[in-house]
Amino acid sequence: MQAGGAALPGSRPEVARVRHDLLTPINGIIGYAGILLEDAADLGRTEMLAPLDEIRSGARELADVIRRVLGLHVQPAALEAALSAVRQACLGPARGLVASTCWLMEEVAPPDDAALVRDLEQLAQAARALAALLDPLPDTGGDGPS
Amino acid sequence: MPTILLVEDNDLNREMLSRRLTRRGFHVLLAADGQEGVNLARSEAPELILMDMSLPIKDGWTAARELKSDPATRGIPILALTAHAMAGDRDQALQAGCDDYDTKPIELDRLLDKINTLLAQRSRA
Repeated sequence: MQAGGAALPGSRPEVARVRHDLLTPINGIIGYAGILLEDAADLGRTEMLAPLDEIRSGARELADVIRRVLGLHVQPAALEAALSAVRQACLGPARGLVASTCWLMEEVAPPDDAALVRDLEQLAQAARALAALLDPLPDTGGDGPS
Repeated sequence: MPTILLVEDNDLNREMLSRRLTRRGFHVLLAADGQEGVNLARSEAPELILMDMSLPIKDGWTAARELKSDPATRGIPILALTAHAMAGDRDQALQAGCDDYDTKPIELDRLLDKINTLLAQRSRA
């Protein structure tokens, strides 16, 4: 993150940076799922609609968790616990998004439709990026977010 | 076809949002950092700027201040895009000169409402 984040008066730059970093791939997941939902509907690929909608909903839920757990209330001393809670709540679902996307790509999408496959690859890339950011977060083994 | 300058450093999100906006009938110019955004705003005079605030080289707050202090570009509405959702962030964006603010993850319908509102305000000005 650039100086803009650090310049915010009263902000907590580390919390803001982590939240920004995590929400960036989620933004990509939601956006590409939206593109794919439009394209699948246009192409009559109705078997793709429900899985894509689940992926988009799952990403929105992860964004809600991240905004809630890494919110204004997090004091610097509690950051590690908050990051651990985010990891515990989000890493499994993020890996699930990767798996769902790969399943769609390999089992459902028409392999000869290069545009659909390419956008599914972009979606999978965003989901993998999210999982890669979550995996190294502290794992203190505590309870997840309430 | 209104021209929108999208300033976003994340490659995947830049391409994604560009495609979604193009599908909605906008002509989209792309910049990957704040300095490139300022340069393109000056050379291309887009109808609206979508500005990520966490940008390399020159962050979105600085870029917005520069554009709003330049008579040639101060009339271009700037819609700030950021993953920050903390209280006061909206005010920070507005103080930097942004005309409105939206948070990531982007919900396209909500963003389009804001874009169309700003474009309508600009056309009435």
